[in-house]
Amino acid sequence: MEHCTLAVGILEALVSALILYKIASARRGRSLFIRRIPGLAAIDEAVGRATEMGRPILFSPGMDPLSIVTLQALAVAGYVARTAARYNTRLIVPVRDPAIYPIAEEILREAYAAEGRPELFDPEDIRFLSDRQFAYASGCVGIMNRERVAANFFFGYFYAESLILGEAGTQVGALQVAGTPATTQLPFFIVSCDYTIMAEEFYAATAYLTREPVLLGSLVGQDWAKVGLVVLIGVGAALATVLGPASSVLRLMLTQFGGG
Amino acid sequence: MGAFITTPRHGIQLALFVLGSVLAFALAMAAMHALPTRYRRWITVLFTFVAGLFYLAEFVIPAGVGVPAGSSRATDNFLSKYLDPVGNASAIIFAVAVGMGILNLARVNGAPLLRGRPGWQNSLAFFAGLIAMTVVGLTRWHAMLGATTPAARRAVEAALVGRLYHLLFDGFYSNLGGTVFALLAFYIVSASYRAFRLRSREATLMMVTAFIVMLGNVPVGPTYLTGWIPEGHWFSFAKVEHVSDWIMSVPNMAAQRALIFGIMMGVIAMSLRVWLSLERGHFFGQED
Repeated sequence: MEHCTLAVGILEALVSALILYKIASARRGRSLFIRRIPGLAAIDEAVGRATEMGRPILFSPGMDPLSIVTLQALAVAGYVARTAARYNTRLIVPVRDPAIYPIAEEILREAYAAEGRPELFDPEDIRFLSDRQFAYASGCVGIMNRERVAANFFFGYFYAESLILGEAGTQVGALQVAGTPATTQLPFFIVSCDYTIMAEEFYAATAYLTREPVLLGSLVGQDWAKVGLVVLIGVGAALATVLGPASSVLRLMLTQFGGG
Repeated sequence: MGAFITTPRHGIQLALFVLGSVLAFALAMAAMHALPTRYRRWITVLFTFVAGLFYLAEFVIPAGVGVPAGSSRATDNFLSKYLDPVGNASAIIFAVAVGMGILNLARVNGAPLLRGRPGWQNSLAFFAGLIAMTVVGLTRWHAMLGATTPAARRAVEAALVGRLYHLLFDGFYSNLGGTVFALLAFYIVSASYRAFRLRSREATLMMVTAFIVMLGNVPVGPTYLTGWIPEGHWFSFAKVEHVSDWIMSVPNMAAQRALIFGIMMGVIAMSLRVWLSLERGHFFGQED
């Protein structure tokens, strides 16, 4: 089994401490700025479009089993569900992992109840399709065509089926918003979707949508941690250039940070 | 305690162990339901913290700690041996969840079939496929249990149940999956047509770059376009396959690493929030 070195352990502790400090700072009432993310700002636009057209929305939480990525996607699904409930619009959530199904059902039930529209919630709109990649994609495409969805949301981790989902949604004329940390699928979502939320913006989604102090503080903390790590990378690159690859200092750094 | 849980069991002992586990789980859930909400939340927070702490501790504690000197598990610490049983528990929960998924599928497809709603034929196809694959698969699996020699296994595969299984799996399922995968070829063409319109400088740059990379990966480019440049010549850097490789391995890789860097920071931050139950939002409920 792989275990962390002393340097990595210290680095992780520092990063975590910085994030927790910023969370505590935000909880004390400090206001924090977050830039506009067009894809997230388009969620309301997409739900509004579906409401005007009288057609449902499809939200796919991705292909991963229950994980950090899927939890984030489900958090966004909850926001979309509240917006859909507010506008009396139907939301269909096909899931790939059956373990996600009861969680998604509970999130949507609570979202509709929070908006005072529990009667709008239909348990049959949360559907386990298949745990097989292309069977799931086929099922989603079938839902898009039969239900003539007006808006698609693809949030989570996707694989080769990303282009199938995106293109099928384009063919039915749906407004599509995708958000994924899967760098290999970003090009496909960018060409087939109207808005794409990429990489770390995906993890900023809940902070952006809810403006909760804890989430905003965490976002600022991770940004500062990123700055610190970039400085460390720069120092390492400079040392490698000046000292040369055979330097003992460089070898020690590589060993400690897992490169040698 | 660890040995009691992880020791393999067979026969009646296994059945009793499974029954006891289900009973213990049901009692635990009933106790949780009976508790007031604020205590239920604190129990959830505690379990989440302990579970996360286990994985963090296993990663942070150096190799060899708590492991006898000279042991074959020199790369592990005293927590490492529990990783597999914990992972197996997750797999078992997933297996139970599959049953729940099938019930959901049956409920969603049952209504159109029973009430004759439009699209009932698709629901009929679902039930036919589900029942056929379940019956044939379980029958073949049971037959394979008794086939202990290669000849016996070949006999099972040659029998009706084996041929039906291969017809359903290799004939239907694999080919249907391949068909859907093949749709990507057409979708890539339609997506590329929309993406490579020259509407802006960025789109033009993207098209030129994509064209170079494409040429570098098909025989036309290296053979006919720059094949006249000898390898090792000072001008060989201009060979289209080298330009293509440079684009993929330098600027493209740099951008991908930058994206992954940001993603990993986001994962760390969110994992920390989930572990310490600081996550707020529609999933974890509003702040108390």
